Amino acid sequence: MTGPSSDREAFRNRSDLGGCALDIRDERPGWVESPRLVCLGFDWSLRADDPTLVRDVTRLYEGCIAPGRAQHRFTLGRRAGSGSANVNLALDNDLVLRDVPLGLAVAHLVWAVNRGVVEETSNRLLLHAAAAERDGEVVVLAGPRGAGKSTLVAALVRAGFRYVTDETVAVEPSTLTIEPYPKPVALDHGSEALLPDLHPEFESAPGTTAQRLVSPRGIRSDAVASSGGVPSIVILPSHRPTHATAAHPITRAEAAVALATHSFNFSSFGPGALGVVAAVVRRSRCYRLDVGTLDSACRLVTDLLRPAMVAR
Amino acid sequence: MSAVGFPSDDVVPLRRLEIEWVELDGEVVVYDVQADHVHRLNPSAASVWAACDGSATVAEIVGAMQKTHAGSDGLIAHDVFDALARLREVGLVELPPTAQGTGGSTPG
Repeated sequence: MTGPSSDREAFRNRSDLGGCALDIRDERPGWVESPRLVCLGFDWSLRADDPTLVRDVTRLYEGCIAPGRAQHRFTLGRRAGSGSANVNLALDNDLVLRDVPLGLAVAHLVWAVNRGVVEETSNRLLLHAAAAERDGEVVVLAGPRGAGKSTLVAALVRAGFRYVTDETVAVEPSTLTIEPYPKPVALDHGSEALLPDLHPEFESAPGTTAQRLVSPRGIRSDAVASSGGVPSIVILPSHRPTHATAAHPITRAEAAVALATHSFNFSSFGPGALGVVAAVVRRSRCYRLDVGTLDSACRLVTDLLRPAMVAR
Repeated sequence: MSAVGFPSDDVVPLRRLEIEWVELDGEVVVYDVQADHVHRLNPSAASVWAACDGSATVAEIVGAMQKTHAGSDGLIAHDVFDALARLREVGLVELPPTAQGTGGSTPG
């Protein structure tokens, strides 16, 4: 028996920031603002006193660029006259980090966007999962933090799949279509040896869990999936480098419990949440996947997807 | 014959109202809205769960299972009692009091 609130609580437990009024008088001529970036139900921009920084962050979210004016604005800048390389980070009028290294501020911005997505996307069931798509068929990789979802989805994209997300799979309840959330791929330290050709836009942030932020389009220029893909395979991956890569079929009920447990808004979504999860697994084949090596796992996932594509 | 936690065969077990559930290939996934918990019931437990619609007593559920499932009557009865006790223990099934007032007694 499991509680579906665990992933949601993980977000809430880190939400005790903010509340301080930001002194935005630091803003001076020369500040620049990113385009509007739409991440599911959360749209935002970044304003900073460093054009290179704005460009780099925008590149991380390049697949989210949209016309119009953003509802939320992050502000990232150095305190006037401080002489410090550290920065402050604010969201709207709330200071959320003060005088911290840039890497930590960017990592927190990415986390805050994730949180905004969960809080402001109410019309879709949000699964804590990564996903990759090929020819409209979506492979959903569900599991807890540390299961290797981001690393595997990055490898799948490198192998020719298109990137949906590495964090939040948004399922439209009536059609089961999945809206991409092409956030930067957040790779744990240690993934350098597994994916040596992926170069992060931002490195390390002491005290954070997401250390290497890779732009999806840095993996492949056409990496980002478009809307309309539907789930075809549900995989619960485990990184097991001492094991041979293997897929073990699981029942749809087992997969449904995993998806419900690893959902950000299962209880708040309303009475239809279980029905959405059931519909997802009914149209999917479901597996546990021991990931021995990334290359073998990518080959296996490709093979698993093939029968579904033939059957369409 | 009666089950642990089901002192009377006349008790009519009933699924709690604040429960959502779906059947998936013979198994059942149950979401307890109040407790915010998800449960997975294997096919045997799922059969018992499906029978807890308020229309049948424990004895009638046991009888129905003995007709439709392979195995000795005693073993099937034991499995039904076991499943009911477990479903009650995790709060998915209620035991409305019988006329004798025995339905709500504590499992033991």
